[in-house]
This record gives sequence, structure tokens and C-alpha cells, in this order.
Amino acid sequence: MSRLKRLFHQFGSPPWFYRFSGKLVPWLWVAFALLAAWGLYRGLVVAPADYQQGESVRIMYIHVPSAWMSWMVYAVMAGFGICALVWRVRVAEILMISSAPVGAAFTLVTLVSGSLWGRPTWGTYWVWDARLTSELVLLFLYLGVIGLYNAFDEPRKAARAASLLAIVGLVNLPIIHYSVNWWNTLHQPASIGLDGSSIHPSMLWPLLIMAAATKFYYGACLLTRARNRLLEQDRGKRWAREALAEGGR
Amino acid sequence: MNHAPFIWSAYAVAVIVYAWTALAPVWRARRFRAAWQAREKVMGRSRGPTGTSEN
Amino acid sequence: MHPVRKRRLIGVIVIVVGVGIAAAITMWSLSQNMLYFITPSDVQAQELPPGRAFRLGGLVEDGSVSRADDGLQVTFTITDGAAMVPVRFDGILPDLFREGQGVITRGALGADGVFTATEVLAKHDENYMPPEVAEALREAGHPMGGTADEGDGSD
Repeated sequence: MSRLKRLFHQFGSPPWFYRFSGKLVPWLWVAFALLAAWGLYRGLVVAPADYQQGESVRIMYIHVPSAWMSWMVYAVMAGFGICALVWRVRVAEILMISSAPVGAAFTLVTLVSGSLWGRPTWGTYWVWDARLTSELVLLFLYLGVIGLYNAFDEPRKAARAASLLAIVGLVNLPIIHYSVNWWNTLHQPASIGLDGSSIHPSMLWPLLIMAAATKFYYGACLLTRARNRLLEQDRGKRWAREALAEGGR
Repeated sequence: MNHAPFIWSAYAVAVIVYAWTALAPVWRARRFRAAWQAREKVMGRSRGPTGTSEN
Repeated sequence: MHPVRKRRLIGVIVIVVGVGIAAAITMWSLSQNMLYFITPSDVQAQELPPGRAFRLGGLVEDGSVSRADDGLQVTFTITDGAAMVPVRFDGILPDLFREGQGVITRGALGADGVFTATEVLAKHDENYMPPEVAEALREAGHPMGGTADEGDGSD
């Protein structure tokens, strides 16, 4: 218990977090680059065309991992939001607000790639069915969190208000996920669930590799953004002045 | 219907959005560091080498 | 846990549960409006007035697609296994349109009981596989391979 508590406090200490994450970021980028190169090669070159959709199925390898990340990042952001509200850990506040733009990017790519996939398969770029609409709401939630944060001058107050919005928005996640089961939608139900997958292994592998790659991408982007914010907020403090004077990371 | 334009544009949008999301904070950090060091130089000249400004 | 933190945690839980219940009630009361399309059985049960626009979804009945000799007009039947509705459509069908495939059409019922569609969208299912696998499945008599290359729906 005491060890766990010490680790928790260590993570909550800005200088320690800054140093530790600085060492981690390059490795996250390396892991992302290797996995993305492998996944794209398997998905765009090796994987076969689909028996019904033909080549357009290749959009899946960017659309589906982005969609998964858009939901996961939101859940993680709300988790940091709870830590920020209950324990008032400043590093958690910073990780919460640093997640929002990355999650918004994942959501935007999900919507655009899905739209470009829908035209050749469904015959339309956009419909207002429950799945597509709730994913669009997710984008607005991310933008709302960013906007609310920027509306405050005092960063700690801003983080608490934005955290509250992030937590309230959690209710959208089950709606997105189950929309395809609860209502008639144009979007098809999930292919991968607890009971297995209805995707052929030759197409499933590139999908899973890309899903792993996007997690490292999120990690690298999140830590880079969080380090920036910490340094800017603490620029008057000694540890930050030392870090800034060093010049490197 | 030819699917290639849809596939390439989907990947092009993804590359642009993800590259910008990744690079924008790096550029921001560089600008911030450069501005801080430039100001530190000015401050250092007026206050001496151990100048500790309160900001 | 520190009592202040405990109070804050309870506050957060109350908010999450409260918003969740509010959302569930909203969803439940709106559930009819959240349906993107209705099925042929719904059409039969609801006695919709002619001319009222709605979306009709289901499977294209096997062997029901016929094209007019002169133009783009297509007629086919949409079924959900229990009921069926004849559909008339004048336009370009999506690539994935074929017999046995799920479709969503928008339009209105005529007085003759024929649904005149102004838009036809293809629904696709959650199965993804290479053509050879679909071929093998079909040869083995597996239902999933059934619609692989019956009737080229594209124009």
C-alpha cells in the first residue's frame, strides 16, 4: 500500500513527471512508427479485398482503430477528470486537458474516414442515424471540454470545470457503443466482441496492429502536450527554470 | 465505382490530422523555450548572472 | 480516505448516476424517433397513410429485382422474413445493392401499396472476408457465403 501510495505521489509531482515522461516519449514514438509501418503494410499491401466491399474495405484499417481510440481517450480523459476533481492532483488536471485535442483528432479522423467509406459502400457520405450522430456528439464534447477550459483564466479552476463536463459526457460512450444494437441504424453492428470476431484473420491482424499503434501515438502526444503545459505553468519555479535552461529535453 | 480515391483521401486526411496533432505541441515548445531564453538573456544583463525573476 | 475527498467522490458518482438515469429516460422515451428506418412488419402493423414519407429497411427478396427495359427504373421487394413491401425506384443503385442484401430506402407508399423510393442506401453486415473464403463457404453450403456474386447490382 505504502509503495503504491508513494508511486501515486511521485506521479503527482511535476518535476518527477516531467523528467520521467521526457525519457518515455522517444520510445513511444519508436513503438508507434514500427507498429504503424507494419500495420499499414499488412493492411494496404498484404490484406485481401473484401468479398462484398472490394478494395474500399482498406479504409477500415484507419477508421476502426481511430474510432476505438476516440472512445478510449474519452474514458481516460474522464478518469483523469475524476482524479482532478476528487484528489486535486495537478498532473491529473494537466493530463485531462492534454487528452482532449488528441481525442478530438481521433474523432475527426473517424468521422471523415467513415464518411469516405460510406460513399462507395452505403451510397451516401452521411446519414443522421444513431451511431453517426452520437459520434458527432463526441466530437462536440471534446471541443466543449477544450472551450470550457480556455474560458477560464485560472488553470486550476478551468481544469475542474472542464473535468466536470468530461465526466458528464461519459454517458455518451455507452450510447455510441450500443447505438447499433439498440436502434435500427445504417451502420452495421460491431464485428469484434467478447465472443470473437467476424473478420477474417487476414484482415483482423492489420486492424489489431493499427489499434496497438494508435495507443502509442496517443501516449506520445499526450505526454508531449502535458510536459508543455507543466513547463509553461511552472515557468517561474526552480525545476522548470532548470529544465528550460538545459535546452534539451 | 473506383474505390481508390476514397481510400487515398481517407488516409491523406488521417496523415494530415495526426501529423498536425503530433507536431503542433513540438513547435509550441520550441517557440516557448526560445522566447524564455531570449527574455532570460535580457533579464540577465540587467540583473546580473544570478537573476531570478518572479513571473 | 480523507472525508473531504470522500465527499467529492460521492458527488462525482451522484452526477454520473444522475446524468445516466436522465439520459436513459430520454433515450427510452425517444426510442421510436431514434429508429433510422422501419421494417415491412411495422408498415403492415401501423397502417401508414399513403403519401407520408418514411424510411423502409430490410432485405432485398431473392429473385425479386427487375429492371425496366427502357430506363433506370427498378422494382424489387423488401422483406424482413415476416412481411414484404414492393418497391419502385428510379435512379442509380449503390454498388452493394444486390439480392439478399440489406437496404434502406426513403420514400412513400402509394395508394396501390407500392413504395416509391427516392433514395436507396445499401446496408452492409459485420462480416469481412476475402472473396476466396466466401467462395469456399458457399461451396460448403454455409449461409454466410450466399450472396457473394449473385446479380451484379452496380450499374
